[in-house]
Amino acid sequence: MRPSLSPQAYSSSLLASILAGSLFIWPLHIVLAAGQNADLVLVVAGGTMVIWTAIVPGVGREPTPVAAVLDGTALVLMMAVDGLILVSLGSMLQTFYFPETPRWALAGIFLAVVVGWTLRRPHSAPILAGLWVPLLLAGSLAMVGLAFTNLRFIRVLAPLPTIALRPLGLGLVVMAFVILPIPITLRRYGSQRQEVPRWRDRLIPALTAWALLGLLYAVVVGTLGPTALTHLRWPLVFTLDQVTLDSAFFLSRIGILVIFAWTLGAAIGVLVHFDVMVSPSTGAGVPLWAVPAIGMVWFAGILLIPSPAWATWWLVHRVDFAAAGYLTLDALYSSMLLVHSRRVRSSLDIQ
Amino acid sequence: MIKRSGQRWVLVSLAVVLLGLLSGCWDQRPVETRAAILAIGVDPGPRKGLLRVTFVFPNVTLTAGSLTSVPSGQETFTMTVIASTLAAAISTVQREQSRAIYLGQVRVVALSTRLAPRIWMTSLHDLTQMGTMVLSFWVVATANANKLVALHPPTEMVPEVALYRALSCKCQDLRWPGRAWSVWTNAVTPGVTLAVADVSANSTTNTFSLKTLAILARDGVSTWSLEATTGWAYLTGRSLAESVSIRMPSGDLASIGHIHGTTQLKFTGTVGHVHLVDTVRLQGTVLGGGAEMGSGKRDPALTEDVSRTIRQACDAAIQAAIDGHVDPFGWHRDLIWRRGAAFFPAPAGTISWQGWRVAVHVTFQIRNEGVLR
Repeated sequence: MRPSLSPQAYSSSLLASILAGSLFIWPLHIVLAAGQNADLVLVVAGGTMVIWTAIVPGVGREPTPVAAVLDGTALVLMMAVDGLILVSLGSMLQTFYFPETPRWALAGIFLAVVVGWTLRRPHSAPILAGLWVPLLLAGSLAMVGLAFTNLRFIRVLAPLPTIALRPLGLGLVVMAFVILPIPITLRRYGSQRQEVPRWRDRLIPALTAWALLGLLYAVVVGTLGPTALTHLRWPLVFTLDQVTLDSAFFLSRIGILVIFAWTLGAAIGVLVHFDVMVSPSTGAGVPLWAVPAIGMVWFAGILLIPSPAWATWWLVHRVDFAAAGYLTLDALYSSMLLVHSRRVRSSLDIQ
Repeated sequence: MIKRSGQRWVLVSLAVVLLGLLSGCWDQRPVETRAAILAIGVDPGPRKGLLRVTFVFPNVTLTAGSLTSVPSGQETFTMTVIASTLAAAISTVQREQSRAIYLGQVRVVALSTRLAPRIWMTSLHDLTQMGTMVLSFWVVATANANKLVALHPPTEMVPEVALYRALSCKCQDLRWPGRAWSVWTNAVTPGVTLAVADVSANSTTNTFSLKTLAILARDGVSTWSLEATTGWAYLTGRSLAESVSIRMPSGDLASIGHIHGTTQLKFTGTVGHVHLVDTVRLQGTVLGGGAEMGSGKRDPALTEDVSRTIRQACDAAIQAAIDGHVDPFGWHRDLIWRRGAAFFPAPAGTISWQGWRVAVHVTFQIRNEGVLR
């Protein structure tokens, strides 16, 4: 029996799981999909994410075949998202900071650390997250605060009165890769705690993730404007890169600190995902050797996938649709269980 | 025990693999083999389709001890190459340099006003797409870019670009446009015309002056008058410390300075009939002159005169924009963003003022200068 998780480790793991790597390509694709209604997508998808996280009891469910299929789908999709984001992360680091280092070498360090760590200490991810996630969050907020000095267009952040339904729906689908890890992470860590997790331990990370995504959206769109944003592959990195302190030579490019910090954040997020995958309480009990196997697949992907554009195309146009489908089915199944358990409880009360 | 030593071998081999992968093994360059570019000047080349690009490097033989003994003008050196694009020029200068070019420390990129708008756009695009450049440098327009970047004011001791410091100091009369990232953002956004500071260099006195705006119109780069530039600053809320001279009834000249404030835009009207109200709220202090001003009392007539002068500058800016079919204020962009692209019938890149009615309201307040001055 492993010791119970502290509320901080629980919340931090959930936050790391939600934000793992997704920050690097944020918010380009919801703006591309939803256009002027991107802020509305953020409100609707974020609101649903927060409300759902608060309602669903964050504990394990009965190991029925349906639950096993749903959990298996979640794990496969989660690993696909992480792999595609890793390709993008390697390309980003290469483009901006290490132009002469091959992409596979950059991603290789990341993979060696993450896979090696999981093999040696398979269930230490929540403890790492509990330590690093609050620190990274505080650092990111400070840096985003500095980035707000470059904000030029506040008006574009206001929602437009014209709402186009199809782009709005597409934008919601694009958000699926951010929301995808929530249900399975909640169940995995909820079942490890001795008592049922309090609703606010679940709500705080979901709200924090929402607020951070909202802040980053505001700083990117408000600094670059909606048109220039769509010309860039990593608009957030571009925006933070311009956060400069003119006074000192070595500190002049201070915004990049947060990019390096997020690389650590992405590593912790992947560690949490691996921990969720190999935990006996979720899925069909994926064995530990699956972790190096997945690492190899990702590495092969990094060697084979020709460009970050290709990786993000797959993420947005294929995996995201599957993720949205999974989330809908999982939500339906969880609601069914929720209604069923209430009925059983009320019938017990009558007896 | 056997298991322990096996684990140690796993760790050691993992560390060896990690060390091999670390970025320093691939792209480490000792600082003495680096050549940091401080400034880039782009002029038209000897033939059509060619550019003359001047690169400024710090003098690497300088040490902290020798700074005072090095003759003025030798703190930096320049290299000039002829190439078809800016990106090609950078790779050419790398071939001619024994050290590795470093682009992360570029301070100023000066583009000649004689260059075609197309060259401006491709040059900006090249600078942005490189990725290794930090886009916090300044983009300026000038007649002869090679002369401007080669200037080295005698007051400069360390190899630093004086123009960069002048533009970044927040001590100018107006907040000049031209940080590379925002220049590029404006260049790709429909409904706003690119505007940067027009800098003129004086090689004999080794000085530069920073007075007017250069506007990238469709047919070429045009320079606005001083009055229109000031009006642009008032209309866009970029006035930091402008000053106005007013002739008093007594015949003296009163000088009002530190003029700064905010602007507020209000769009009304329908498609094809845009009514824009730009409310400019400014304040300033009496700097001197005029016997009547000694008491420090606020004179309504003086306030009225200052407001009128400011409004004239604003009108000059708007007239210059209409005459040149340009919009350096970004009003067309604001309109596109407020109402959706369908509201804006002209294709991206063209500015039409047809159907526009612009009203400018100026309110001006004279502040007491306080006891400290």
